[in-house]
Amino acid sequence: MVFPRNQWYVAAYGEEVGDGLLARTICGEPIVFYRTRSGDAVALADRCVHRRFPLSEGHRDGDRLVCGYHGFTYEPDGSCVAVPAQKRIPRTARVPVYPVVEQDSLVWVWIGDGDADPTAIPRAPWLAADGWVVVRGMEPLEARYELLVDNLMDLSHETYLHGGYIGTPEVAETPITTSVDEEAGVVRVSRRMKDVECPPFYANSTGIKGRIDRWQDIEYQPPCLYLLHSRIAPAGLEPAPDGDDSAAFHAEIVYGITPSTETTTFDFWMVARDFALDDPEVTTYLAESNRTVVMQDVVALNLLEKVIATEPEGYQELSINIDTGGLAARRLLQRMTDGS
Amino acid sequence: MSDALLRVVWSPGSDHLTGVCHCGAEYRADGPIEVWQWLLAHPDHEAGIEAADHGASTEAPGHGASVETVGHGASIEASDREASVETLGHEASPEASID
Ligand SMILES: [Zn+2]
Repeated sequence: MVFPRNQWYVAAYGEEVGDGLLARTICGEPIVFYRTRSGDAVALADRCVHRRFPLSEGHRDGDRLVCGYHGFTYEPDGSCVAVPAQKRIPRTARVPVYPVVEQDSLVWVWIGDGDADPTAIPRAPWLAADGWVVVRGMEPLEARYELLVDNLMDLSHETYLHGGYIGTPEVAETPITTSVDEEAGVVRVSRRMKDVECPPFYANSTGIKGRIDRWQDIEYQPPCLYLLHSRIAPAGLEPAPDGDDSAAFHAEIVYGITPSTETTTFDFWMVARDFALDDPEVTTYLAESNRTVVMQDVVALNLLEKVIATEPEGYQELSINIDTGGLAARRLLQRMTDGS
Repeated sequence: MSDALLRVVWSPGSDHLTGVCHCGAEYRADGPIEVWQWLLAHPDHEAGIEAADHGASTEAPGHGASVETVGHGASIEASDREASVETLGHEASPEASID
């Protein structure tokens, strides 16, 4: 498998992990998630040591997991405490346990060996902060995660794939600056549009009638976390000299890009906003519109995966200027994959 | 800003990408693969391309000759290039200057 290992990945939203057993394959590794009675999220290899039966098909006995095939019973630390019809438990009866951290409403899992440093997990504080309302979802993608990275690093595709929602002609026409911080391992792509058309997605949610200034500042922290800092303001409205920007509208668009298998991906999408906080209609509108946009990408990327599956060996794609950020992201991912 | 910050500036409609290395060296490229190759070659930046735009050659013997230059925080607008002073790039050699 070719994934960056020794990395943290978004495995689930906090509310997905509860009393039940959640099965998710992350970077090729089948994992079962559940929450103990004391509230801790647990992640164990989803495969009984005995005959490989998925533990997620078994059931819980308090904080323990009981295999649905022969009753092997595991503690949250992975140790086996009961096997059928005998008292002696083989010393090797243990399933791997995965380091898990819950932060910013996301359940992060460490894929790899070595030191799972929780401070290395990138932050998305808007997802669980006062003054923000979040809509979100997760779409399983029948496509490799690299295709989603490509997609998100070049927003000029909004103009063509998402016209009528978030795309306007100006997106594909505005100067962009791409930067890579080699030490921090972050790729940024910034597009500051001035005095442009307001797409329906933002006109309907902010109530702005006229033209806008629109900032799109991408911050990708490979492999998993993608942030799009989106600022919408009536044309000409700049942040105050002291940095106060409360007159503008902000949406923090967050993606967790989590490889499942080599050709499937979990597409976690989230939109946090700092406006119309008490307006349920805006919440519903943004949830539905954004899901529509995400599904437009899903359809396109699933199609691309099929194209890749049938293309001849050694096919050469072509890159142009819009791909500057995507190529930078690919290089950092390659470096991470090679190093792990 | 990090010592390891590499930047590429692009105006759609323009066919060029401008790469700006953390050392201050700049380069104008015709595509993203070329611009990243140039940036990642630091400190052995290949000299060249920009000169064509000025009708002068910056070809310099040996590797690492800096192309053109900016001080920190200098504007990277193309129009400023004419005025840009010769380089502060780490491996710049005086012979490489454009007169
Ligand atoms: Zn350099």
